[in-house]
Amino acid sequence: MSASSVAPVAIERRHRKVPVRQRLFERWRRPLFAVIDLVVIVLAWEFVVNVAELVQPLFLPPPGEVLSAARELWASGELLANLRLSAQNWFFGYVAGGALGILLGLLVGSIATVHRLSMPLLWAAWATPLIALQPIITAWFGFGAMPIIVLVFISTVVPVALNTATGVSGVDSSLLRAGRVFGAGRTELYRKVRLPWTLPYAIGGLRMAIPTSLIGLLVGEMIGSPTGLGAMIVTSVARFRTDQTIAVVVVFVILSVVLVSLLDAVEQRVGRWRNSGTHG
Amino acid sequence: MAETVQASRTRPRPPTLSRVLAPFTWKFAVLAEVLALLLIWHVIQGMIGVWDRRFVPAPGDVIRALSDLYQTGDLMGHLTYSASNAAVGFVLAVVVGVPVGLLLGSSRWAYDIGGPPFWAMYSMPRIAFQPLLVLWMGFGSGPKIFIVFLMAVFPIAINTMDGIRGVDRSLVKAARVYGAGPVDVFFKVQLWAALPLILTGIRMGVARSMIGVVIGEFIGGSQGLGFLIYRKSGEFELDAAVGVTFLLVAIALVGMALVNLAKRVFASWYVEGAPQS
Repeated sequence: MSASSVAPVAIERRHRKVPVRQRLFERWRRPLFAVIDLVVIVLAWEFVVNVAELVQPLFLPPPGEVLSAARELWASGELLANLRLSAQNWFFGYVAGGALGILLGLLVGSIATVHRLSMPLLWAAWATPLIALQPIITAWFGFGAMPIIVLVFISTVVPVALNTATGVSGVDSSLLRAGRVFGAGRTELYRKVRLPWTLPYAIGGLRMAIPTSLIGLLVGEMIGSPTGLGAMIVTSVARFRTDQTIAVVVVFVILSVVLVSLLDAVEQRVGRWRNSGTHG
Repeated sequence: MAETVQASRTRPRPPTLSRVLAPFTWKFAVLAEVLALLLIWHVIQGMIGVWDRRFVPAPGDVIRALSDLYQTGDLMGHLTYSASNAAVGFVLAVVVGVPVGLLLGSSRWAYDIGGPPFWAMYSMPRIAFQPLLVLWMGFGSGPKIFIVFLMAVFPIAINTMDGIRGVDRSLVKAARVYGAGPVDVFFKVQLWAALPLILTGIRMGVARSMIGVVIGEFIGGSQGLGFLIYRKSGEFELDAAVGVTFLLVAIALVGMALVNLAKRVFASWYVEGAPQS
């Protein structure tokens, strides 16, 4: 298509009414494809295991078996009990880690010298596999809930502190100046300008901490814990009950997706998060 | 030549030591801080001994344990095992992640169809699969490589996707004006413009792949640095465990520094944090 013919067509299209069917398609395109994806994947899974018999059901049980395993685990109360334990451990670690992370971030970000001295260390901690500490933490705290909580805590503190510090140290200086012009004192400036500016960053940090804290939870439970979802995954594989394994993994995935989208929603509400610096 | 130009523009000033070192001041400060922390640790544990040193080893203990491990040859064996698994998994992640990111970033259809499973996979804690991977692939290197791949591939693909979407449209238009076809535009403009973000993703991938290394060796492992940490902690040789952990951290940081170097060489025009249009 040559360039000269493009423009008039584009103008014409803007005035033309888009047919209802097409508009509906555009609107529902994303969810539609997601549903189609899900159906195709489940059908392919079913086909590979049950129809073509390419994989032994021991290694990859068909969807139906996973579903019945999930129902069985639910009915026996095993799933709920472990889910509750996991949720407890995660919650304590995450809340404590989030609170301390925000405090630490505020401290680091508010004082210029501390900021320059601590940010490299925080970045290094963010870049390193903190879960490698799991065996050492277990040696310190013994078996039980404590090492799991500590691991979740550590995995939460670092991203939250990092993001909060990035936020509080990067306050738009014109806002600070405007505040000063309107006669705000130091504490008022901090409370009314710096903290509101930082809030989305702190929430962004909490959002970033969800996957890392769940990794901490899983690692803590998969290694050296008899209870929790992570332990269920390990023990069911050891008993070759892969149908249960996949059921628990799916529950865990749903859990993590729900938590992430919850924080996403909060993040969206609070707004500006885009230049929070860290990603992935 | 460049130096003479520089000199004529600014007044020649004698390069005093403080001026030469000025850009590095904060780096030195951080280094000094790390050394100071080590010193405090040494005073608390090595000299006073606040806690039982079997549980909280002093810096000297850690160094001694590491050198012991090195001398018996254990360390190098575990190190090469971990490093080779990590390298294979990581290269796989780059080889798969970059094209996937390019595809998802440049085609709407690909994004609408491939996006949902991609984001679903991304948002789940993939290490939950590790026991299953062991069941599927055995106790050898297979699951270790695969979990490294799984951990590293997503940040690489996502950043590539962001990179290709963020390419300045005027660059593409300019290339078109000069008669570049879609293939040329892709390989000569878009790919290069996206390179800094691709490298950012690769750096992120280095960090994530270390998690994969550790998990892969914690669960169903019998070799490697992660396994070494696990075993030494179990035997309450925490000095060795802490030492190997630090080694792992050092490897991760060196790997990321190397990617940063690559970024400076191949994308020297890119300023980190600059607004992307």
